[in-house]
Amino acid sequence: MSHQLSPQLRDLILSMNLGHSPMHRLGGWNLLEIMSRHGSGFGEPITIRFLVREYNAEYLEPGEAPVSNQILGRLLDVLINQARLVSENTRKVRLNLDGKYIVKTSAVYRITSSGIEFLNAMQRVVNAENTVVASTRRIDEFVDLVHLMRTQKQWHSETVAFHDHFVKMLEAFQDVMNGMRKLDADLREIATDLSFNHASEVAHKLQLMLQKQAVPAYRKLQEEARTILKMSRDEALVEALGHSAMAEDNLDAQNAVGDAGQLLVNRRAHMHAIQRQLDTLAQSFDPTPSAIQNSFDSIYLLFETLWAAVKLLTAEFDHVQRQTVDVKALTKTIDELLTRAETLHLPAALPSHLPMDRLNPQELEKIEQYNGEERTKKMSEYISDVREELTDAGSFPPVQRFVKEAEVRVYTQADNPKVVIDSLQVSDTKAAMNEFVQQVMQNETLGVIAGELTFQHASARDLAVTLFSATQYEDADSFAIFGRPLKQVEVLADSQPVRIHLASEAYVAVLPHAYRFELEAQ
Amino acid sequence: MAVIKKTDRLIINRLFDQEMFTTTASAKQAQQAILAYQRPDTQRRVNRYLTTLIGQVPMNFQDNLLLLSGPGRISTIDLQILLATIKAVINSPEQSLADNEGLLACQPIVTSVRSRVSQLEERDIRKIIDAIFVDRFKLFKVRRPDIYDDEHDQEIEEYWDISPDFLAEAQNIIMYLQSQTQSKPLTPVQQVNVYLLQHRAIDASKHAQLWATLQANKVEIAMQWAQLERFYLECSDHYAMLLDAQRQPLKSRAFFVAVKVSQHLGDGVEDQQLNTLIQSTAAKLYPQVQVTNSDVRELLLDLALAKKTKADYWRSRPMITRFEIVEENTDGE
Repeated sequence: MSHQLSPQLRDLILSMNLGHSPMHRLGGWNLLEIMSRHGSGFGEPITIRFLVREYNAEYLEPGEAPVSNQILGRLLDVLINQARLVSENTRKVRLNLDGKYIVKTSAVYRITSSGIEFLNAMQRVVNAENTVVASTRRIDEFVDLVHLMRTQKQWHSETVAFHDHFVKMLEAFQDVMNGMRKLDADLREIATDLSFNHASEVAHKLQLMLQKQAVPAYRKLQEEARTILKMSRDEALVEALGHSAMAEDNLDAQNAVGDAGQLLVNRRAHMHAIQRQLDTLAQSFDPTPSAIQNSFDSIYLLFETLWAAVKLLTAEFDHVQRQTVDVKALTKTIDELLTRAETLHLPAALPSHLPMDRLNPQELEKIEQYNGEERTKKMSEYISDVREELTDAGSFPPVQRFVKEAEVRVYTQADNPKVVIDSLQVSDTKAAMNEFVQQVMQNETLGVIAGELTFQHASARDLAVTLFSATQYEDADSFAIFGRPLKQVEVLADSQPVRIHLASEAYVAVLPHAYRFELEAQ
Repeated sequence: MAVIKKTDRLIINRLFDQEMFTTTASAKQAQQAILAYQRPDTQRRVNRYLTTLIGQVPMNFQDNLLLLSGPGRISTIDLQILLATIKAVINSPEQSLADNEGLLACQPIVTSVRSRVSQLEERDIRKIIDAIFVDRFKLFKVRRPDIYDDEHDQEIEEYWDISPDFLAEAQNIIMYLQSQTQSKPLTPVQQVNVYLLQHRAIDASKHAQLWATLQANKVEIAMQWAQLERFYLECSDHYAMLLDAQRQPLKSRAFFVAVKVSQHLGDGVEDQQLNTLIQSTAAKLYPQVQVTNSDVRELLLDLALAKKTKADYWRSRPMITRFEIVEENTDGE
């Protein structure tokens, strides 16, 4: 008899096969249970002998063979080394051999705290179905506590009660978030179901869930977002909470002793912890994208699911509207037809008929280019007189077809699709540079732009024009000609406007003054 | 007979061409026709015309039409595959989401059809589905995703683009199959029309009764078909056929060879010797070029020039007299 495992828990444990023993699938679990129940410290030490005895006495399933040292040894091996739920120590143990005692060193097993947590967690897993759903109801409690936290008048930091409220608020939030996550998973499950199965009950269930639970809960949470964010930045609150945590009715040992120094240290630590907790809470409500990505629990992630569910419902509704064919009924009909498929018949496709060619050659030529429905239309214009005679076609001469008419489709280059010609950008920098130098530079470093200039290359002309703006700057060295920085540039006073032509254009660029520039010596 | 209008003609001609007339159409004329069809008097006219002509009305589901008036029947396996495919498609979960644009992966459908029709391999099933839904009914289009990476081997998944009228036409097909028990017997004139539609031509010698009816009601029958402004009844002393104004006269080499061959078939040519006859005729007409045997064979049957008897003999039909091949004495082709 395995100690009152509920059927769900039993299934879960069986599926895990803790301990990898094929004959004793609940072996690992049972061992953990024995160890946790038996406790460590008092009574008989937990050796293999003890475990074997206990197991065979109380934990065997009907039809299961009794366990032996080796079997349990293997199980324990897995639990200790792989799962780390049990720890092994060697101790001196006193064995009672029927009156005489002997002290022997043997291995003693103890369940670790992970093991205990594991036992509890598995139970919680099974119960999660029921408890978590109910937790969205704690949301009202959560909201009330938040309101409590925000009105300073209601803080009573003399007693621990205030801090307790804070702890309860955090717990309530955890529960609510668990509830929302569960809701999230449920919604997703229903949504998948919906795409396989258009039964309207599923859609209805989804709609109810959204309307009654998810959306109101979400809305309530959202409304508290600002308050919570403000709370996390409220130093006075943290201090008051810290005060309250360390208040006089605190059951802490140091309080009883009156150790003020230690109390102060504790309070500081507590305040840090409280601040951290508030920050984590606030991060869940922080709407900035980085916070949402980094937070484990952001409420805004839930929004995605809710929105997806709403979209799915609308799509479903549209689908149902469009679909006047009942797919289920149609499927049933098809199934029934399939069973008597041999007796049914579906005609083959209609064959094509001979083309109408009883026109004289001129008429045929005229409608040659038409095809399809246009052709019939055109033909009906010509054919009215031929039509009556067709029914006495016995006297008609045969249609003459000339052999050379045979068309063979030869594809020539003319049938090639048009290809866009890429215009290559030929770089003419070198030529432009040479031209510029030739026209403008007087020696290695000095250049003058004056009078009437004609350029062949556009980039040379552009340079001559843009360099003029260098005259307006004090510092000319940010301008450069083909990579060589300018040293100095100045306008030549009393000069005529400079006219600059580009050979291929009809425009003239006119600069108000001539100017002179000097390049850095290379 | 009531005069039918232009839109009616469009609908009926399309029904003869594609067996279906759907409410999603591209051409502008078709749009008008669809609108027109939604009026009850159009429906009445179309139905009345078709009843008078061939004793059949199209199946109608939400203004999508289906007219199955062809000869013979498809095989039982093909029918089973057709039904199983419809079932798989309408039940596939992806059909439900509107954003999917009607694209379905081929493989899962083929697998589920195979689970129902397990005698064939998946490849054969796929071929049959393509033949029915892609080629014949044109409700599916095959699509493949773009291949971007030429270097690695990729498995190409094929998808079918399902027409939005699929559901309506599937419903039509189902209704057709369900209603097979009741069909009124056809009048003699209707029988002639049906035969002409399904087999292109009537040999006077082979179908005496049809021929008699035809001769007696020649004018009336011609008038009936003339309403469509598409089919013209040519009726000579030994044969009668419907000529289709929508088709252009054939011009391929295979056509000329086929006509010549049909005129040389004489008493009958064995199947094995047909190829030699085809090749020798082709060589005479087109010395330099190759002509495919299968093309010629196909045309022989398609143009009602010859037929294959049960003993695998090819015989010419009376229609061969309507063609005359004129060869140039000088250097023709």
